[in-house]
Amino acid sequence: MITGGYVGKIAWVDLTNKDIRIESTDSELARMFMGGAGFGIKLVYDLVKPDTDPLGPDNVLVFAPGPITGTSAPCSSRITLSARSPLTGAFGMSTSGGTFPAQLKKSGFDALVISGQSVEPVYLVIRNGKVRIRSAKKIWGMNTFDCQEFLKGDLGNHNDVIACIGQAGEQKSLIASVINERRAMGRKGLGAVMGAKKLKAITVAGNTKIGISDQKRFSKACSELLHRFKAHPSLYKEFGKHGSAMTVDTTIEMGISPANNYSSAGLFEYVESIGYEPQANEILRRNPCKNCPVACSQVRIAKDGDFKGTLTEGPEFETSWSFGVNTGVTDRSAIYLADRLCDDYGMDTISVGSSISFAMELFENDIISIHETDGLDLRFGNHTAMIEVVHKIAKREGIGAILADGVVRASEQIGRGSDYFAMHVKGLELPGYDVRAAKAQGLNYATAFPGADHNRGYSNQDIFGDPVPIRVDRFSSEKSPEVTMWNQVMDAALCDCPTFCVFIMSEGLLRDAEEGLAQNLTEARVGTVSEIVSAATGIEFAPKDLLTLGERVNTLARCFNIREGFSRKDDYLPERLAVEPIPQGPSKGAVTTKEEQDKLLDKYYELYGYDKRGVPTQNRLRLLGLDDVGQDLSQLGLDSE
Amino acid sequence: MKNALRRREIDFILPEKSCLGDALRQMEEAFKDQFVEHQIVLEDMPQIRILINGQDHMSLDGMNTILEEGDTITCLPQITGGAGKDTRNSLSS
Repeated sequence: MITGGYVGKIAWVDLTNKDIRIESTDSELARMFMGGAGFGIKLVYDLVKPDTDPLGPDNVLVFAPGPITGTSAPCSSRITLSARSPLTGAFGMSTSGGTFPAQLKKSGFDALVISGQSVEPVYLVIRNGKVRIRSAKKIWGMNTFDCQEFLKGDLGNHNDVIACIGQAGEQKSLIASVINERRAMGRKGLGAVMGAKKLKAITVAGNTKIGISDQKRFSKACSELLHRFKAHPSLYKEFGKHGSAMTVDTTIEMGISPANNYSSAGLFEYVESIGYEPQANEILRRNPCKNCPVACSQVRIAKDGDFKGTLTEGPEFETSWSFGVNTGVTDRSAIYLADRLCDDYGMDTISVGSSISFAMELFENDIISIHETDGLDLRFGNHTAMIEVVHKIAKREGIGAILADGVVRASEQIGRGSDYFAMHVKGLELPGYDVRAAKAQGLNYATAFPGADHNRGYSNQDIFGDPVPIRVDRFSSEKSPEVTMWNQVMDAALCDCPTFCVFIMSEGLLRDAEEGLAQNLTEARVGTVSEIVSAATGIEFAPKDLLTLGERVNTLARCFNIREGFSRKDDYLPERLAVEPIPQGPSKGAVTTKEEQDKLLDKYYELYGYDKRGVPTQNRLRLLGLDDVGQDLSQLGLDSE
Repeated sequence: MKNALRRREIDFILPEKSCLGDALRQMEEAFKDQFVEHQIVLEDMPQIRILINGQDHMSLDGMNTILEEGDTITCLPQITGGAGKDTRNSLSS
């Protein structure tokens, strides 16, 4: 029985028929899938039938916070957004923070499920357990910032918190994001799904009480987590001050910051121009997520450069990389502006930056000419051209129309061997870590269910030298299968389902950890989350249950992908990373050959209980409580070998 | 450390077969006054991550890693995770 954590209702909105249903949160759904990513994958798997058009009325969008979201647990205002991705065709999930996640819970719902397709633009108003559909004619065409400001004024409540799409989502750009405040549910093109449904925005407000089943136990566990945060040598002092920008310096010093569309490696010049120290001089203030004592998110203003005066919340590490090192741009103000524009238009900064760097490399190699770039001199490092292309992508103009759906579709249109330069896994553009010299991170890029997603199994071991569960040599893939599975299970179970911030959990939970892959040590790592979630909900999520939950979520997402035709062939890194060694810097010479990847996949599949094709065995599905999924695969002739 | 030293790069000449710990001790000795002024104690520094030519020193031989001509030692803030007590940087290890 649910006695806390959840508010007990899920809203179902059919935009075709303008039908709204409010149903009780299923306690079995809560016990098996907890919330957040778990709710997202379970509902999308059940509701979205195979071969559904991601931009059609039968795709569904699931906004799901978790049972901890909106409580006083630190760093818990997170939300997952799930659907079939129009960019990849796979299960797509993005996460975001800010205030929106907590406010959605306080508006009275554990999840919001949106299906159908409106003829006219609409937005949703959600307050204290009630959902209304309103015309969005006035705001259709607005950027995300104006849209949020207008709606607050129009609704007469500046405490409303809003998630919306910009012009890119309206244009159904497959790299469009959903923006809440200045945060993004950024990747996998889920903004296009909203745009296709003609859903411009969702406003949430309310003061629904979120009960706590065992307040004393909950407070004790939260205090323990805060104690770990406080004891960390740099979490508050450094990470809270600089945010993810610190990773710019780390990756460059390690020689794993891919430059010029992965054709090179970023060297020290980038530390001086776009590293965390020059960025620190431009911080105006922090802008923390709800209930976050760390406050890593920063508002910055460009104090010099060609776009001096540009204000942005960010840029986060990935954005500094995608519009900086990866495009060869060193003008910090241009990176700030690109970040700001992507937030305004509602676009994913990683995919936009990567699409531009892809076009730049084609231009440098004479695969596309200046006649195809609208006269833009699209050489690496041309920051003004980069900004022009950002605008063009959002408006689907000229070269922007080709790049607006990501690198795979762009390379299909361009042809001429351009697919070699399209850096992606499963259609999702690669983030900013050169995984040829960060092997567990690489196996995660290859195997994570959404494609190359750094946050669904981030290798703190490779990137930050974390010794938990084991210390790894980042140049060696010997332990990558075990470490990758551990990371993927932990991210799902500890962050994406309850929901907690992925940054903070690695800080708080790994501190003072003992080393080893042994089950008891692994369970010790999840103990704090187990206590917090169990105390909040009254459902006993023991450490071993959390580990099973993480595996269940990842495996069900894989089954969704298998149903859509994905297989082992989609679990490889781009060819370039298998045949071209890193050309310079501290990681010079590193490469991940196809043969190496084959061995890693065999072992990784074995650990997860999949066959050589990457299909989960019926036995493993039964152990995870996914018997019905096994039957689905059987009916499709996809039984494991 | 950068503020204390007022520079971001320092060259050291060390005897052959010197290890990482030797290099850090030499730096501490050379900049004793600045370190005292900025309250920097290298003896136990869990907040610093040390790379040798881009490789985490704990993946090598820790403070006992033998250095070679031209090696680059990089000190970075420890961003995430932190190490167990047995794996923290310690000049005495």
